[in-house]
Amino acid sequence: MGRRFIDFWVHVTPENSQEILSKLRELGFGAAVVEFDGSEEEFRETLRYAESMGLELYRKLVVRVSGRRPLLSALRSNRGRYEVISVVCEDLETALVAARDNRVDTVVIPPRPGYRFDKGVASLLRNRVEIPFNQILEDPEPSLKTYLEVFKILGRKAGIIVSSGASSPLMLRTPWQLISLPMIMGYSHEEALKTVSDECWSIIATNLEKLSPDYVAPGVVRIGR
Amino acid sequence: MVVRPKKRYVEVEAEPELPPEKIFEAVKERYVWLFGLMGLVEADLKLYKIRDKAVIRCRLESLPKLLFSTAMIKEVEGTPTAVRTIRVSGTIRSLKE
Repeated sequence: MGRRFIDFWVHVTPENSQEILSKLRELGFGAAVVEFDGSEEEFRETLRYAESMGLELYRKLVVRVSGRRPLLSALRSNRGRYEVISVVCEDLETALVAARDNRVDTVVIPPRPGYRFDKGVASLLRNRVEIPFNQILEDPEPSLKTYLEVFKILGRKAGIIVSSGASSPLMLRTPWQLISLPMIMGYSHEEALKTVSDECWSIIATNLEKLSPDYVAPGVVRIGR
Repeated sequence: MVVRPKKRYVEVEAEPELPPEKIFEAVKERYVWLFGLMGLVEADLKLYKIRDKAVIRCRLESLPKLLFSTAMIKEVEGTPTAVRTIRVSGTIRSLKE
């Protein structure tokens, strides 16, 4: 069986969902993680549409807060409701907390972070770093400068995920185009492929297990109920 | 013995649709903007047309740069446009089939 690609961040609304999801399927993705702006009922409808096309869909919460307390509060109040949680790290304090918290799946470093990340930050990092391609399209020069550092300093310590971050069909890119970023940053073809497949699937598998009613603790599952 | 450099053929398409020549020009422009004129010369890009589809040839070592250049296109002549890679092949024959 071939490799299944996943676009780890797509902004979807009830209005553009069908257009975006059918485009994703056409571009060769087998799954998508969506930041959905709509009601639960609308999401269920979108989910049904995705299933009819053979596209797996997971829901993502993107936390955009500043500081430790608001971040912890946001994580506490949304526990168990989303398959994936990402944190946009606008300042160092948020980044340091998000990098270590096991409820967070990916940390997103903005194009102009306003702080430096060095080996000290890298040594704390437990979660994966996500690079949304739309940030490079919107602000190419600072983004590429920041992501070059991310690949150099954090890339060898933590897993990297490349997603489109698209909010319209025109911003979607093919898996080949997404992996071109890690490749120009020095990753081998095989390592680059993992940034749009294996790294993402590993998060999904772990989180689906955590969301299961039989989950007790990491490695412990209740059986025979 | 002279070793012939390895090439890759990338089939690309634009949304909204554009003629192959315009796609090629946009890709070259982005390539120069990202990697410079020397990068473009080293990549040895060439346009082929197969059934009105654009196929861009490049050197194997320049493939990631070519893919990245296509991904970085946001607009062509002021119109929001996406250029996407459909297939990558080592021979042009397999793209013709």
